[in-house]
Amino acid sequence: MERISVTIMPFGILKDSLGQDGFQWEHDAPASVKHLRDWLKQFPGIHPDLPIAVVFDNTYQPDEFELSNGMQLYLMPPVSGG
Amino acid sequence: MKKHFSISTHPVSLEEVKTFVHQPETGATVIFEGIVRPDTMPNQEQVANIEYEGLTEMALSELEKISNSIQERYEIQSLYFHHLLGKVDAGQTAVWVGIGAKHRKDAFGALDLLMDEVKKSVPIFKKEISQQQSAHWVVPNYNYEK
Repeated sequence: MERISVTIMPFGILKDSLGQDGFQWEHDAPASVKHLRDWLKQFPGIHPDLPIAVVFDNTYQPDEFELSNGMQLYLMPPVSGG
Repeated sequence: MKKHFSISTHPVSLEEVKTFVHQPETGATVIFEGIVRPDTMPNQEQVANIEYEGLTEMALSELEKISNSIQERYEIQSLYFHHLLGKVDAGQTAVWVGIGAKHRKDAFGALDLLMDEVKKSVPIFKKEISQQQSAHWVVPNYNYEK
């Protein structure tokens, strides 16, 4: 079965559970943002109600967005600037 | 409309903001500074500083979208926005905003809308740090420690 590998860069509170630096995430193809969000549920430090945005190409992506090999994705909790 | 968006580890001066937003036909300028508050953290320690991080390129792109929506609602002539990244001590400014318009209501309305939208979509994140070096990520409207 074909696998895809993408780079994940967490921001904010997600760093406490996923680490300060980026990492590679692999999944059977086809994979979507929904698969990534489901995978995040295994981390006890990430509250299941925490809204997590997935960003690719400087754009917030919906659950159905299909992931491709080599993509760099950013995981973001609710923003808190300003 | 004349506009400036920047995000960096370097502070700017109020004079720079004022000079930018004051156009020949300006009748009202509103200058806003967002200052780090010495709030009490959930562990009852006091905030000594806040560390900001963000995705700069996307943040600038979101600010551009926000400025477009502001222009649809308010008649403004100039808009200046600067947000610091990195560590900012309590009492220090982290955000500078300036709006220039012909009329007061447009300037105030635009500022209010800008800050509301920044807090919804601009990818900047903050971590409160106490004098004792405890850290607490700020997640608006969400009590993740419950």
